[in-house]
Amino acid sequence: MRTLRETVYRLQPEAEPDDVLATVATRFETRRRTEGPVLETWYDTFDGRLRGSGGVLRTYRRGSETRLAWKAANGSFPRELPADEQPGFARSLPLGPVREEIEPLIEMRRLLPFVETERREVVLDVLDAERKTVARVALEELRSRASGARAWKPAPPVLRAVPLRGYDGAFDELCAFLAEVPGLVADERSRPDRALEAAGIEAPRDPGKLDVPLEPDLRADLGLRRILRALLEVVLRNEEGVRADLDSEFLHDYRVAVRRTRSVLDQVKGVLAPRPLERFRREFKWLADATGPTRDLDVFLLHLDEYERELHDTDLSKLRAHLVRRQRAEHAKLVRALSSQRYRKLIDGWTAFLADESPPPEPAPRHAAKPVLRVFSKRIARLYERMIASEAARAPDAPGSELHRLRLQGKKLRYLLDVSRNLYEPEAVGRAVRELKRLQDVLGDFNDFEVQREQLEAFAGSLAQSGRADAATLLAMGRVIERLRLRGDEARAGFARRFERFASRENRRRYRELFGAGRKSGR
Amino acid sequence: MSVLALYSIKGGVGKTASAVNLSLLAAREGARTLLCDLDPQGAATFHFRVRTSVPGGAKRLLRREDALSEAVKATDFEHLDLLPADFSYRHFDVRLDREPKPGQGLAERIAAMGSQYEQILLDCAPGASLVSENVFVAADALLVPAIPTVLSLRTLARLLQHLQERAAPPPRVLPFFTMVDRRKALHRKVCAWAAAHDLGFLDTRVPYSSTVELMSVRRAPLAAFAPGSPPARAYADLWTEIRARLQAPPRRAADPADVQAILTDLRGAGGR
Repeated sequence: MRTLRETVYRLQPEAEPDDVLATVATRFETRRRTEGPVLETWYDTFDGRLRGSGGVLRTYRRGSETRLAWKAANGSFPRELPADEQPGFARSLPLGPVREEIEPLIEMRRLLPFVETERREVVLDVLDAERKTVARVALEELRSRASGARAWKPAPPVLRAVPLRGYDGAFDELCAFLAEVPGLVADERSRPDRALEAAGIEAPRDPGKLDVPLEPDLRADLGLRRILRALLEVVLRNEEGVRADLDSEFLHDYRVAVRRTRSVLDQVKGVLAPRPLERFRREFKWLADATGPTRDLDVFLLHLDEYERELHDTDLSKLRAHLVRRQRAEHAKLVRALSSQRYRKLIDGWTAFLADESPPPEPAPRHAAKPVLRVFSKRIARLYERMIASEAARAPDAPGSELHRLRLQGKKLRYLLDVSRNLYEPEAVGRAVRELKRLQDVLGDFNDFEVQREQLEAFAGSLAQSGRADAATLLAMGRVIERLRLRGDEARAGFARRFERFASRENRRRYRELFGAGRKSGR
Repeated sequence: MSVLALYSIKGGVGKTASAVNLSLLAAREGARTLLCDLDPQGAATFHFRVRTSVPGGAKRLLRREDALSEAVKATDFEHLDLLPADFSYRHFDVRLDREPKPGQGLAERIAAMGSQYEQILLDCAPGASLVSENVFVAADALLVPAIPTVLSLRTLARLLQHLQERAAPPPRVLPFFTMVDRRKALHRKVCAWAAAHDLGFLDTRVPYSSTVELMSVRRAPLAAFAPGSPPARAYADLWTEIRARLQAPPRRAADPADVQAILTDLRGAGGR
């Protein structure tokens, strides 16, 4: 079966919309009607996960009812359901195929409205001899605005040719005709894209994804500023979502950007003037500490869903309530920190520092003028060597602290690779990152389970002391603790194999080729 | 996905009118809906102005996995598609008989459409045949229109008895009265009897109306040209009731003995 897609045409200035419709009506038997206004709100996660998957989610009003319409990637069939409330988390969608398709795409992220549209159309139903509609032509007038904004912005009108299932021939004929109509130019953009452009807003995209343009021979100080500016941008883009606690991932991405910033500052020394950096390092440490407790609780709450599924006969509701209370309290503290003078001063000062690209005062830091490629390659190569040399961690009975240390080194390496990857051959560096990621995943799991277990033991202790927990809740916590211990053991078992690959001859050669000389590997 | 079949052994009881109107009501609720016109007469297809022609006909539908999907046509109504009728469907029984699983071949094709549609309605030809056996397998419920007359009730009793005798678990049966004429004593009496005894009949009754006959002149469902008319309102109520009934746990199934009881009662009263 052929899957026909609607074709959209932009009208050139010389094409009068009414004339175009009249032209169609002279060639085909048509029935003219108007549709709309239809109010539509388009949803995605902040990092554009639906868009990334090729899916489109919107709500629209029909009479007094609001409906949710979901279309997964091309070729699939659209689905609709009544929308009693604004879509938010996947778990609040009604059970059914829509939720089944959306949940794995957005996971823990909240669906947010990103653009609103108001659509009016003049529709020509193209009819056959039985006066049955076999295709449609719609002249679409669209206004759009950022969600929550007041003023509408008009988008240029477009003509849509809409196929009807089972009438391929009629649609082909219509498209062939429209292709010959002067002033019509095919337009590949979707309706939300046209709306975004009219409203002058950006499409939701992954703000955590770094794509810092770097040329290998760029001065290291300029390159490093560029990287740090990109990281600052991620921090700022996520700030609002962190304050509003829209979902856990705003804070996650925010913290990753802060951590990357700190890590880069620690790793790449002798490039920027050391004195102001000392203060920024201190202040970013403060910021990382201020955001930590909320994140820990977020992670716990995210895992709790999983435990509930696994221990389905155990009541974790009291534990959840307790965690939610603590998360709210910690988040309130976090918001206070983000509203403080100290925070403002840090962000303003850092912004100004990164914007200043004037030559460094003499004596210039010793690596400032070196090519950015050389500086990063050297650092990456050294970190990798140090990681594969950590014999202590490879022992099957290595203490948790050794694995922890290896994990931190791995993080540093990962951050350096992430921020500088545009300097290197993409495929090779991609493979290097993948090997590292595999290793980090087990180390991360091991660490998460350890941390959660310790926290839970502490919670259980404090709950028991306060007398607020009943025996059932404490028992439930005990079961979760046991579960965490098991999962930690599993992660450790997986570690040896991953490390083997990470330290393999092949991976070593890859690192040597990519980062060895800091020269020949450059693009 | 849910499959509802408009089915009755007897002809002329309002299967097609019901299928056409209910399918539009389902689609208007936003469910992607497919109406399969399995009746070679093609009346439902005619109502949607679609040509009664399916390339390859009954044979291809049964033989080729994607043939049904390829034959589907969009109607003029959003979310509502149609599998058109074809005159070759009169040979469905013969074709099915040659299939490895005569009682399931068509049912499997219909079930496969569940990946594309949330609601499937079957407009079945009257009679009891291999096609009916497939319908019993495919359908979650049989919607059985019945005129409140002796002959309609007699065939309903026969159907209920047949479903009881089959080895396989029967689909739910939801009979409802159509073409109800309040001026006729017999209609009033049968309806009252059904209401007084829990026979599993749906509460909503579709009144006799010339507006329903106009559907074939206007070639459209009632909601498209006479949305406020009494039969259009009755179908809307009927659809609401069907959905509610399907969501609720099954009530006591209609029993052939119950229907026989009405018939005996009617005979005792001399049919008056």
